[in-house]
Amino acid sequence: MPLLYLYIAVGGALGAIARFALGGWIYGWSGAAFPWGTLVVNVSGSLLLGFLYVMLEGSAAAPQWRAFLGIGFCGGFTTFSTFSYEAARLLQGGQAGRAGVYMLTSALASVAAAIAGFRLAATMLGRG
Amino acid sequence: MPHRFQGERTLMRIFIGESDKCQEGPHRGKPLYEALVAFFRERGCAGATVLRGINGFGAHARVHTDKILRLSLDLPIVVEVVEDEATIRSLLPELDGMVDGGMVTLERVRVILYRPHDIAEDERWRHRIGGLEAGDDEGET
Repeated sequence: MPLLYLYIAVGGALGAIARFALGGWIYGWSGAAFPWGTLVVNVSGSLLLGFLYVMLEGSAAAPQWRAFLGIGFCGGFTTFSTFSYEAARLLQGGQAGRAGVYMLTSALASVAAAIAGFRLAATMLGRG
Repeated sequence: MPHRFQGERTLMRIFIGESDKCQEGPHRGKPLYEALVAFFRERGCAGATVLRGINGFGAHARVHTDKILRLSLDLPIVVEVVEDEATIRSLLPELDGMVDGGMVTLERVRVILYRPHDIAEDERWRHRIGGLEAGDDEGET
């Protein structure tokens, strides 16, 4: 088994556990009326991946780190399937407005966060 | 004479979580709702029903709901048993050991129908809901 699979597996496991922990903490104070946990996880994970991608560019160990942190950790941390499940459940429950806000915010804020991650890393590398 | 089970009985409701495990006895380690049903069956109870809730909270005020995946891992479960009060009381010591966290309530109910689905025709009259025809005794025992 290529070593790359191990990087991805370990990164993915840590990412999923981090999501579970962060989600539990967020729902502890946000309540269950809106999927705040998943939204924060997806937006912060997108920011992190954008940031890491630029930070790792040009590094000799970049492919391994990209596998571990990008595909593994960020992949296990963010969750498109949970987003879809929760948006679908909101729609099924007749909360179309809330579902619409959730879908729009998730998509727009996640992409904006990835771009912010690029810029943050570029600024830190003095290329901003 | 109506069926022996009709009349004043006790309804026991056991409020637990889907991921609770049985703490004591021969069913230790099994999902608690399965262990409770097996236990009530072994003790010859009249029946038991498990209901799963979609939303709720308990003693820790933590919300459980199937709408948020992260909060759907311990959904509310209610196990209901109807029996005469003496039988219910005899179950309580073992029940107390089996349940970790939860709530148990007892209330008085009146059973007006209790029959198996495949009852013989000549037995059927004993299992009718009382009070539907003139001269019925309204199912009281």
